[in-house]
Amino acid sequence: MDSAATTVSYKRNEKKIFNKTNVMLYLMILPPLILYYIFHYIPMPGIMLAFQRYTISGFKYWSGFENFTYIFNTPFFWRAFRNNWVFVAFSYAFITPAPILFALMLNEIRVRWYKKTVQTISTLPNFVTWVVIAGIFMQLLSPTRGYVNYIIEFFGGQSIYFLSKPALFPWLFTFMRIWKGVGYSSIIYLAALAGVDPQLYEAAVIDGAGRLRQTWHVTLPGIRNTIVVLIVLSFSHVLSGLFEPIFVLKNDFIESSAEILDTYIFNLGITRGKYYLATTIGLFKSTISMVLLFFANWLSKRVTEDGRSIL
Amino acid sequence: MKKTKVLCLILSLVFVFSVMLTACGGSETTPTPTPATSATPTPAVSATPTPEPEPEVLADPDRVHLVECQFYGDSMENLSYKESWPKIVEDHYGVKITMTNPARNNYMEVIQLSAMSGDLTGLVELFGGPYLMEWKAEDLIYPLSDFLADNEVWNTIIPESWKEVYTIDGDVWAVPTGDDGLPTWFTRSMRGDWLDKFGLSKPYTIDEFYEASYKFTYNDPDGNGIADTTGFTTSGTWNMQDIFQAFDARLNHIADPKPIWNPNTDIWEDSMIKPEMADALAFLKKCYSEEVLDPECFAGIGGSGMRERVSSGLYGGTFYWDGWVLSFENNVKKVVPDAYMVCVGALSGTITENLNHYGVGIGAPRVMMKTTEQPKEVINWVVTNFFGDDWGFWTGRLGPVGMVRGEADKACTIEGNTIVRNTYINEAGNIATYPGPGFIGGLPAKALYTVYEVAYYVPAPPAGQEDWAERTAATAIANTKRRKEWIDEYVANGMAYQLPENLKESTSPKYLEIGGDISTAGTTAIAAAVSGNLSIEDALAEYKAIAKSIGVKEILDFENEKLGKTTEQSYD
Repeated sequence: MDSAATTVSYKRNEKKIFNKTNVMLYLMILPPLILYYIFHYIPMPGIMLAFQRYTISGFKYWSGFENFTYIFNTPFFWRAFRNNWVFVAFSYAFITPAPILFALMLNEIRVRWYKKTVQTISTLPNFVTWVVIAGIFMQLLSPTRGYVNYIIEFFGGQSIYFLSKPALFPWLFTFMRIWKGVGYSSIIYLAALAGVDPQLYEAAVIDGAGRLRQTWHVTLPGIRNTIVVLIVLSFSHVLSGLFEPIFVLKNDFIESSAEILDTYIFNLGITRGKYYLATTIGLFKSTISMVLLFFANWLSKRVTEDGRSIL
Repeated sequence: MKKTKVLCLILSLVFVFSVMLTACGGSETTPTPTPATSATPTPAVSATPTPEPEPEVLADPDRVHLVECQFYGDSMENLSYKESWPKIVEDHYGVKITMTNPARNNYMEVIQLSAMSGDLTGLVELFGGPYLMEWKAEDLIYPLSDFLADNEVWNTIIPESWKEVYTIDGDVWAVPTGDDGLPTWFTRSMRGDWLDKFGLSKPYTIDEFYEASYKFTYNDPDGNGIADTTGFTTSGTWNMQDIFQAFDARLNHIADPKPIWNPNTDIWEDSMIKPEMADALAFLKKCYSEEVLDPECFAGIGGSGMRERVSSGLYGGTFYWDGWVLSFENNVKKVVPDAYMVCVGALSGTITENLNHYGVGIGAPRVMMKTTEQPKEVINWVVTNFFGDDWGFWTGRLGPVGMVRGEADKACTIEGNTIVRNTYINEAGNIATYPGPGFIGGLPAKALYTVYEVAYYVPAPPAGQEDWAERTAATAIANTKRRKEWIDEYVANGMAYQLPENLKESTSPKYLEIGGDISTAGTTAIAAAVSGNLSIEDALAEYKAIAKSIGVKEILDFENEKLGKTTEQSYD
């Protein structure tokens, strides 16, 4: 077959949705699509519960915005909402930069076996469930049996019950999240770092740049797109993903700073059977996430080099 | 642009299709007609009038479905027993038995979701009165009075007090699990051997209690030279109700800071806004800051954590079921053989009378779901056979004969108490207890004042332990006597009072709506004040503001109006 014929055939195939080349790819994506449809689209009409009085015996009446009025007048809702944003702020201030810094530091290590060891050890906590991690930290920080307090007392200090201090909790929780996720999250940055052209470093050295200047002028610009895309992508789910760790860590002492929307939804919906209120808060949260997603999309067009949107 | 339009069209179609699927997914259970609550049971219709109509003979149901919590232990325990029991009952009575046993930890959450989906059917165990009221209000369950109107066992054997407890708006809505009719209450277990060591007697006042607890913490009661002991422990507010009671800042019967009925003033009140609450919190704050109170008291150690701590021998005590005074004693003896526990039934402080409450247990309520087929036949069959028939009663309570109870003729009577074996010495020579179904909790007419402890040797009694059965039975009886002495003492000195079941919790619709919020607000305020995270004034002010915004006063007004009184407390 000559090249002209191949080109014609390729173009003809390109116009078809299904052809021999891509049918297998479509088949591969089918199971996740079905799952996505079952678990994300079929339940979607359930958001109607936000506008109903719907209890354990089912539909009672259409309530309009009554549920929204109720939750917006509930102090617990605003407390959970505020706490959620505190965790978001801590997340962008500390958790997002942590794997970047970690990747940069790992990148500077020249001893290969040491680098691999550090990388492996730092990645391991990611595979430990939050229940176990919470247990480890509760034991470590216990005022009566915890090693941290043994050390404090050994040096003459007073034991502190860390997990009873609402003001300390966001910091402790952020530390735990970094400890758990920094190694794993740094993998993508390490991959991006591997793609930085070595000639740029050589040129920087010739220009007299030291390590820090090389990092600032070569490395960081080299992975800028990756950083931006990951940050932008994270906007759409900033209010999610905290249920499990918060659920296992919170207690009555720190309720005021640990309760978040997800745990409040669980408490209202699953524990107390107020499904309509839980759905109302869930819808409110989803609306915020959707606005953030569009914002992220708009932002991605402006900050990425090729001006592509993420949607 | 064209692509966007196509995408929008597809998404719209998907959404519409989802709506259709959801709309079509409703339960199609055929509703069983609800009997009118005031209607009398339908008599057998006869064509010609007869002077003496034949009483209706109720047929056995085709199938009975039971939803039980802690049936032979938690959901994954004793699976073979769980499987065998329904078969044995089925073989005996010829009625098909099916069961569901959700895990204890999230039992109510699971059955609530199941009720919402319409899948929950049969006779369902609930955790308590408030759920019963809610499920009645939600029209999920049948009233049982009419169904059981002609049931002989119901009319003659079941105590009237049981029926009263679960009567709402003139109808009985649940059948209790039952109980022997012994008083049940929480008391403080304290290390008697530690009190002896410091020359202290059993405390009756909050000051005496503090003095003892302080010494338990700082005077090395276990004598090992290490500061490893703590005055007392608790899981949240649950195990220190007596301290709040001493200051007349009562929590409710399950230690929730919710509106309660005060026996001394016969009025419903919110302890959280009483000045006495500040005094109670100041006392607890002092205990907490001095580490006389377990520093992890509000850290969610739970019931198991609390029990484990007291049993470890390193904690001076806690406030828990009176039977646990003996259990703690046995557990601590494994670590410190000379240890013993004393029972502190109440602590006086600001007030000296009607401090701690007790009740006469009747067990958890069982309700009949409206999705149940043959509801009348099912409830009558259950009541008749499990309360009226000896085989059913003992099989429901302790398990089938031959399966876990040994042989029936080995049951005996000692000092007028029926003793049924459920403890035995196993092949390894250790004392073991048979797990029980707990489907029936007891009946005053068949009370086992000491249910426990008669030997069932496998394969034969060990040498030198031939009298073990008698000894353990005697110990069990002695322990029951101790429990009786405790309650008698505190009733006699006026410190304990019986809390009527209908005054345990509010029946106000508002209470059902905001009960959880009140509990959260109260517990958070107490934890913040005790730990010093907030000043006592700020913590209580925060609670007051929340209580005002969610309308707690409505509950007080509702209940006080029923008593013909006016709420005196104000949230302004």
